[in-house]
Amino acid sequence: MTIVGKTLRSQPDAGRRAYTGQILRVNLSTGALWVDRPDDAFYRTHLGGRGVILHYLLSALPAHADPLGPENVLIFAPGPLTGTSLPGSGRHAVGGKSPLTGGLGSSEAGGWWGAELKKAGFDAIVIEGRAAEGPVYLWIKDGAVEIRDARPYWGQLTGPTQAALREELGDCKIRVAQIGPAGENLVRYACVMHDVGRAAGRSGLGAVMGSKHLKAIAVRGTGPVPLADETQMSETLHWILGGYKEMMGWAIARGTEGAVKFSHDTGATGVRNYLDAALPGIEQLDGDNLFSFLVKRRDTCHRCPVQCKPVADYESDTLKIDGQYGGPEYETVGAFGPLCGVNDPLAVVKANELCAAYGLDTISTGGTLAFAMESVEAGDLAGYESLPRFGDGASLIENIHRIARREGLGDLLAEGSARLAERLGPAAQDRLAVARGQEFPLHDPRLKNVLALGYALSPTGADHMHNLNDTFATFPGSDICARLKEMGNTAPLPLFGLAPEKLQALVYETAFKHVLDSALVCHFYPYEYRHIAAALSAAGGWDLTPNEVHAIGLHITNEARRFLLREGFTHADDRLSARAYHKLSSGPIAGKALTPEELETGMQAYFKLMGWDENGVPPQSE
Amino acid sequence: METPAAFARLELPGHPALQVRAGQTVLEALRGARVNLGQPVIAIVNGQTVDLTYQLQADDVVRLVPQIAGG
Repeated sequence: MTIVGKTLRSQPDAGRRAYTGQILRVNLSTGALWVDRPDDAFYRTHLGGRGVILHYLLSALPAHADPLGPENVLIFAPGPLTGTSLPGSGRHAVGGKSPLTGGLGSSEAGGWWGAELKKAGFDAIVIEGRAAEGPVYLWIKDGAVEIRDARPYWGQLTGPTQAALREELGDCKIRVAQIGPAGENLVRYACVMHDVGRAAGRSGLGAVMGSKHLKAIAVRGTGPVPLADETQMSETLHWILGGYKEMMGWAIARGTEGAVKFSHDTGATGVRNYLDAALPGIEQLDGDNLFSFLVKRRDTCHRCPVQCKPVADYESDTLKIDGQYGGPEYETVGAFGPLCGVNDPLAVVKANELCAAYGLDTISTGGTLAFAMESVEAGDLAGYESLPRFGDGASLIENIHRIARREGLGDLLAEGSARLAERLGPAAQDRLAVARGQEFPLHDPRLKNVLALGYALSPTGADHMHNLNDTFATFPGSDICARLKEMGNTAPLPLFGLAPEKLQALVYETAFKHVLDSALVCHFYPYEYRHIAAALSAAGGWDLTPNEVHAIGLHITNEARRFLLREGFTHADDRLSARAYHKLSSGPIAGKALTPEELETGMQAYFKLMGWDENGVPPQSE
Repeated sequence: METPAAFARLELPGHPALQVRAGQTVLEALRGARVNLGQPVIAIVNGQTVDLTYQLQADDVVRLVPQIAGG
């Protein structure tokens, strides 16, 4: 295979620390490769992951740049904890300006790719430009970097591409980050896939990668990821390894699939585009049923003993589900199941497989299809072939193919539900379930009111990750309550409403999750500030306190807000679409929903807690 | 003449159902029962999701549902 760009060889020189001191820079327009070598203060301030992503978006991306233009910056960033001995640290972040929202694009993935990049000698990759001569991929091995021809792989699904790259490069241990046809076709919610089954799902970063004609980043690293201070890590390791089986029993039992029926029954999931209270046959989609005949084994991430990832494998005369693509998480089952009114487990699990193979975000795919299904019932999409319909698994599957290929109605659906609603006219706005143009995750804002406010304010659009989950904060024994008490906040908290102590809790939890997404650590682990402070100190040779960790998280919250404002967003954009205010007449959350006025009052209170002005503008310095 | 005690029914994940006195909150009833649920729960009372500080009424049927993180 031809090397089409320049090559580079660079070795880490950070000494005995868990960061390498090297950030790889790539300009695909010119083929130039170079290395930034930030100092220790940079890592202590930004950590990695989202912190590094925001640094480069604010410094290297021109304001108001086209997200799908060559000037957008695409960043892959593990964190200082990635690749270390800390359980749950097998993660990395992907970032850029989102083509779905126009705001911050930032999403994380588990698996092995991030640790491999650290072992190969880099803390991050920052990619700009566009490969004008045709698709390329990056090949990184132990400090050596090449830009190579990817034309034979363009148009291929993720599974065959990974296999072919490993064969071409002659190493079955190569880890691959890549896009599928959805990213190539600039579907606005295309994701970046890793190890075939692990998605940096949200924000449409796969389309950014496609716009750069970058098919994949193949990585192989054999270097160490040493801790600066092993003893500082030992107490946290002892705590988590001694207790994870009890504390994370839910993840060991069924993974997030165990949440499907429970969440549905409490009204957390959303049924038939948030119009209904219950899906008949929901038990067919729950973990107990999926595990009984579809889930054949479990997968895990680097240095994680929990193995929460289900692997679904199935073959009959008429249907094959390929286990190399993993299996569906709660969000995916919720999005293709209850939200689309589908109770057929084979259709839902097949939909998950197709999204992994094409490289599509399952949450936005399901949300967009649910919106389209309601629009079909309203008569707004007449004239297209194979219309998606509530409860019809076959039409669900058919339209996922069409979205990824941008065929027929799929070309409209590939733009996401908010752009489709604009096209359909004012009446369609009433059925829209988005914040900042991104589809709601499967956590209903009518049940989870602080999470709803978090959706409206999130720099990435509706997102349940850097947020506070109301239903966990009501239970005295939850990890959220432990962290809130650690920081002196009231806990447990009331379930409904936007009480002041809940908004203060949102400040803490958002900052903490930004730290996790920068460090980088799995949100499922019940770590508290003291554990993360000790682990980061062990990694970087620092002496961080829990309060300093919180301050880093607050800084990232502020930087993300500054990025949004720089890109032209104003407080008028901090809102939820109509479906968040639609009250159900029956079921577990009958009559529940915030009003727009309550949301605005809550946002003003949150701004004060953050030290922002009434328009949500942070101070110039902190 | 003393009023007969009123009770609610508490359905717990992985444990037998309990009869508990009405008039206390769901959380108080859980603490009194000394049951270690091992994971966060949320309460559904007579089909409606409620706060754990909900005060139990006579003949309420309370279903405690485990909360699992999304992914």
